[in-house]
Amino acid sequence: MNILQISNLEKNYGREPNVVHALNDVSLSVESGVFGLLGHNGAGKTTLMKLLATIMRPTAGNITVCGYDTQKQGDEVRRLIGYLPQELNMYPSLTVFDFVSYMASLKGVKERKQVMEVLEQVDMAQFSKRRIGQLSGGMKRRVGIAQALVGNPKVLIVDEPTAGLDPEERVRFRGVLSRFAKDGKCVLLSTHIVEDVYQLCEQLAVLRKGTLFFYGSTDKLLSSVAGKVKLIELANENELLTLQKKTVVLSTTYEHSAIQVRIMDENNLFPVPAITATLEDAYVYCMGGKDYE
Amino acid sequence: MNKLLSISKYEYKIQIKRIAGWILLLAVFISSMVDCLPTAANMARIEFLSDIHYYVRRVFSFDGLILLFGMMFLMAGRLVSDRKTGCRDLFMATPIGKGSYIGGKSLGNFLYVLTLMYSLLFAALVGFAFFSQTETSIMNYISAIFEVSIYIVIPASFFIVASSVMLPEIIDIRLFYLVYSILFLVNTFSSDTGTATPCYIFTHGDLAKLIWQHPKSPTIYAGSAAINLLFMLSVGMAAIVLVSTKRKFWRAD
Repeated sequence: MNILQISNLEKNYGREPNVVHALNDVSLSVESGVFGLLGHNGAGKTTLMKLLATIMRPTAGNITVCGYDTQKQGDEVRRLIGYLPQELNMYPSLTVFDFVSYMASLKGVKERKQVMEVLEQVDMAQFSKRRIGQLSGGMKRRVGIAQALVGNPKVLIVDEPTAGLDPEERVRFRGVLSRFAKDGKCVLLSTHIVEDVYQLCEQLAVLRKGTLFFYGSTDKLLSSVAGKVKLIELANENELLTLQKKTVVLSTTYEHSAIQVRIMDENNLFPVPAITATLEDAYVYCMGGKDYE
Repeated sequence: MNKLLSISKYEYKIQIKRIAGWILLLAVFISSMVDCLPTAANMARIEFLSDIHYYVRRVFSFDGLILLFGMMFLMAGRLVSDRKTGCRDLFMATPIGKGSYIGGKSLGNFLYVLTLMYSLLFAALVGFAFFSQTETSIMNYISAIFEVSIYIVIPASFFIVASSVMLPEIIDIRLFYLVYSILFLVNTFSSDTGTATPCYIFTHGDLAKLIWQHPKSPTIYAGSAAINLLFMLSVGMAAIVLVSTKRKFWRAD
């Protein structure tokens, strides 16, 4: 069953002639599990997140969350969602427990037990009396996810939750999100860290300049580049510049005097065996300026 | 209503934990002790200090004003900072309305200002009771508290809270600081005029100015008090209405 249904969504900022089209005709549906939303900065990910969280209204199109229309039944939708914005600086003088209790009270949750439960889920129960101003960046993000989890939401909307976190915190974060998504619930994860999507998501969408560029399974995205990714060694920068004119360069690594280059060899121009493609290869290829499929 | 009270409760909690507010209160209290306590040295200068009504008005016509001025900076931009830190997005993603948010923020800060203003009042009264050479009945204490509350503490607190919390959402915060600093300066250093003038921050304006030097006029000019009260209430209400009706302040429901 679709938990989220987005149909012909458009969002414009400003007025003619300076109108900015943040989202153009985006349609997708999301079932239970973790759904990844990839795209570079300015692709429209945060706008889509804010539309889903009912903070903004779309210019056209509609969104339903568990059958409720975000524009007509906003309060019903807000009772079903937990939201973690991209930029969140919580009140530094409040303790962890107070802050999560504050957000819980706004969602109609009064029991102290529920607040402690979500703090335990994110391994913050032992720091519940510590002031937010005294926490590390990773701990603050955990408090952020705790406030989103409180009230037992059906849909979790998290906007770049792992940006700036160290690897250990990122792994911890992934664990929290995948545990949440186990019981028929849905996590919408916006990120530009491909590794997070690879580890967590079966389905994903790629946004490019406000347009839905890819929508489907991670396997489908991977299969689009499988057998076409090759590793080439170049002697200098000039060769690299020449190569970039012929094909899509996915990544470069400088090793001693040589340059290792991962390329997308669609037309089999280079007689070297293909290597195992990663989701990052597929994503970079998507973003590389060539039309997909 | 419950959500409005929740917001006000936590807003109060956030503000009351700020050490700057308590340092300000301590500084103002020390300043009021130096000039206003009915000690022998002060009594030699100002013989009316043993009158409880004169005493509390003297404390609040200057030291209370300084306290409010400092608190203005502690409250200014409470809504703007919520927008900048992403907290307002969090609020908007929960099932609360604009009224609960604005009301809760205002009420929390109003209770915070009242806490500090009444802390100053009661600390000043304890000092008075300790140093006063003359007998003052409990009824005189009560009537002094009542009058200072009605004419000064409550309307001035409302005015400052509504202005500081709301106006920086409408105008540049630096312009707000400039305009209100001028208003406070005029109020603080215009003690040599005894004419009935509107736009004092304290409702008994002209009396407060006189009383700082000498209780020449023991009565309050009703017209002046009413105009000053109107000034403060209307500015405060206008600030709240302006923010409530501002486009893009809150999600469009």
